[in-house]
Amino acid sequence: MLEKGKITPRQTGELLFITMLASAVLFVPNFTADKVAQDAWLVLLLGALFGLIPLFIVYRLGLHHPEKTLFQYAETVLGKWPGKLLTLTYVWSYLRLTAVIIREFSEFLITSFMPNTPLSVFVISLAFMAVWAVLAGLEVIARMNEFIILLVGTALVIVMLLSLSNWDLHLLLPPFQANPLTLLKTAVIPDVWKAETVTVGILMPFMTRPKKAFVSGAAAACFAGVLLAIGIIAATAVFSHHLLATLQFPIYNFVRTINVGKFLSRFEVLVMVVWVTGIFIKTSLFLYLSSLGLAQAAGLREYRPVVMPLAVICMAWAFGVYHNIIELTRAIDRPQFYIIALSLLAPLLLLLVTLVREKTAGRRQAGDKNN
Amino acid sequence: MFVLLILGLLGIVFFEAPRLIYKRYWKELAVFLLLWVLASLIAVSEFLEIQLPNPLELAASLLKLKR
Repeated sequence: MLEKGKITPRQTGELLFITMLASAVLFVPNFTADKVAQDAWLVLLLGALFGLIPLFIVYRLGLHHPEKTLFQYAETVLGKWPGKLLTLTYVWSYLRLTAVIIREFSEFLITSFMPNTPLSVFVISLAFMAVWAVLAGLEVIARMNEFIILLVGTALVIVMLLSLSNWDLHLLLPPFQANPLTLLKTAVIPDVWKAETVTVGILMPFMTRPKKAFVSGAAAACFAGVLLAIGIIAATAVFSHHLLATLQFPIYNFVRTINVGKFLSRFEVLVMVVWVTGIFIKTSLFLYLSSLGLAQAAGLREYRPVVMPLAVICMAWAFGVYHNIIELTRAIDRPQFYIIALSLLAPLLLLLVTLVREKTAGRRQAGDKNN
Repeated sequence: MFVLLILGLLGIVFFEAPRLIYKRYWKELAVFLLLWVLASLIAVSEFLEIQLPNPLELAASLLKLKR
């Protein structure tokens, strides 16, 4: 076994929660408001519901292949080389996600807080921290997250409560005006759709009680979806969806409007806390998953040697993946086929093959007994 | 800055390789070095702003040749 640490179902849920929340909180309100106007919050709830589909598939898969990660049972189900190929595709997608997240993180900090600092400072420091966390192992990331989630949760609740006096709920009227097809199309955009639930398929063997994986994953998707929906309702009620669609980081601007008695102000630091800590956990988790996948595909005895080269690739990729923040925001506001393929179609294929194989194997065994 | 990059890349080898050699994990060492060479290539080309050839373009040109 490559990983000796064990995590509880609750920690799994918290890891998923933070990966869903951290990247979405800044970029999602902008393009959802652009596409479906005042119904943006509905899309978030829909995305959380859609997230349950891949979760259910990988949960069933995990029950059929206990003590094995998605990467390992891909080989037993599809055969050695196709399985390895699928694993490498997952590794590639996780690496790409890590690079995109690192770039998002750096661009946000540069645009909002430190416009004169070069990009490399944020990229290198975040990648360095992530490597450190990954070398420490999954259990360390999960336990660190237990502390961080408290910070994130309280920060978001405080921000929402303090902004209540600025809300104008008339701006949400009339509801349910969006075209259903547009709603569906917006709900499968990676940041809205909680497709990170596929991660459960890799984390399940490391859980103390794998049978609880579905409950914790579903709870994470629902909590993240509802919290983001509330955030978008708040931002729409303050700015109206017209302004929301034009702002670069609506939640950040929304928090800047909070000013209680000219005394409690400048709460954007709280958003930065949420973003930086959440992104740190998300980067570490995804770097960990890609290292684990590569190590399992290559049949290594430990995943440690591949961590740092992968981090270097991520860093270089983060510099080159987009030219500037405009390209970044234009790239993440549309459905991406490879995410749908890897988080829905591939697990579905694995599950179907598993079920068919178990059926035929069962029949063969019964036939053997009769003879 | 370029010197720093090279030093950092070499630092990774000095951090990881001795442990693997000491434990006699030859397969891990091979995978590590292969990945390290790939990562260094990508990082250096990104730093010097050299465009690495995209493998997909190669495949596309091959397909065109057949046609």
